[in-house]
Amino acid sequence: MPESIINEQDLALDRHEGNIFVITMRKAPENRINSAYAQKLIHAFNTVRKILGPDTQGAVITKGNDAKFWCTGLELTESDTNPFANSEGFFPLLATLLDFPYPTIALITGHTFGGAGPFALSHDYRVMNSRRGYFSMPPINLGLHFPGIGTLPRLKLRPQVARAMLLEAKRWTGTEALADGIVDFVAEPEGMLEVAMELARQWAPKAKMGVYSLLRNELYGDAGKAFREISYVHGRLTDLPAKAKI
Amino acid sequence: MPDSIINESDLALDRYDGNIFVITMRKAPENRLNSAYAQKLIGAFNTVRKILGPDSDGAVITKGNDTKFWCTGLELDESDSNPFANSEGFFPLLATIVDFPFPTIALITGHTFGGAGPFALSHDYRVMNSQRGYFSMPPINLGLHFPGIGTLPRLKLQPQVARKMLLEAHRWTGKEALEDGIVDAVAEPEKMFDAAMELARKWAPKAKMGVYSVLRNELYGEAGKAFREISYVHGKSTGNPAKAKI
Repeated sequence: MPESIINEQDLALDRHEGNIFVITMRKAPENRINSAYAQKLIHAFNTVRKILGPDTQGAVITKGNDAKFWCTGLELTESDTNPFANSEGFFPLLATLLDFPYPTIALITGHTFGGAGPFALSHDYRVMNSRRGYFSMPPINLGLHFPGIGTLPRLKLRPQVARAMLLEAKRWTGTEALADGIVDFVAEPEGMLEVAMELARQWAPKAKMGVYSLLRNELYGDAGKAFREISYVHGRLTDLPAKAKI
Repeated sequence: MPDSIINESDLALDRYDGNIFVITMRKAPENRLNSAYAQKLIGAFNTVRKILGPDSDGAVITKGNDTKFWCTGLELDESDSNPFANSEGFFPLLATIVDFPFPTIALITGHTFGGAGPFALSHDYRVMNSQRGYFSMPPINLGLHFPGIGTLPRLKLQPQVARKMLLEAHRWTGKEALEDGIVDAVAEPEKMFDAAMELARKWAPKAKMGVYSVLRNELYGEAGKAFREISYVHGKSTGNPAKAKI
């Protein structure tokens, strides 16, 4: 039985054997991220980091709460009242993931859309529902941009796939995402948590020598830098808000 | 018959027809690099550069001396008595190869491990023994890091392969390395020298117009910059030494 560390209506953090932690997003209906929820997620990652301490094995899985959605992006209306919303939550969340001392796995339980694209890509590995759910990043269709939005596609995906993601707003099924290297595994809904757990158990030991974050940043450091640069900033505009809202 | 240019007990430099030079590492038992040996290797590359002058065709092959090893990395205990050892030899060696005006080919005769990973990747091409020898980079398992350790994997390999190398410490056979694009060709032990020579003869003419190095640096320049930044430095720390030694 996993140990319950955080048990809130919209978020759970459970500890499993072998220092594997599972964050369950359950912010109905679609786990949309606003600045407050992003800070809750950051807090969950920080809680894991403090529980484990340095130089130990460990891993975190971020999942949705059903087989329909993982996260369908940002609550775009928050920018209407707070133009700095992303700088207060979403960008720091991406920065936190890239800096995190343990391997991270996004268990893409279903639809993943908009800002959830970078959120998923900021994890070290991705497991996706083989039967249901689409993955796409629509900024090109919405007139949306923030500096660094392309770093993870650029650094983690083959060039033509990154182009399809950023400039074509291509929509991938799980099986297509696997073929294009966007996700590392697909699994049936009933089996996908176990696949993610297996991956977590396989890579948790790599954190033990205390250089996981350093070496991750050797590969994707430009992304972390870009996100930190637009985090907690109010003196300038950090993003082009969507001209269309979905 | 090749012309012998350098003939020392641990290193040879021979000149073949068509301005093809072959560096043979023969520092028993496994061609481990320490700062003095790295400087000898730099001396060999510089000797080739001075013999050929600019705007000439030419190429260099770096091989081992048997079919068992290419290079199993750094002499890790040198850092015990000299914390700046890598800055005095290994990092300048990597910088030298990434700067070199002529195409370079690593003839990976056998086991290639640790610091020999970046050393092999710093060459323009890699030919590996198809029958014997493993290729792996173990920093994640040893708690080792230096700024720039991930530049060559990041710039030369597909993203998932770079992740496998740096965050998973995957061990590749020659054939697996060929599939993953880490090496460009594999050959049987009796044929691998000829395979490397063929590659050298094919690409040697590309140096003739004097822009090989600048164009190489258009692709991999960040790696060269990173290595130069930590070369010949004694005033600051240039990385995390291994917490475990192998």
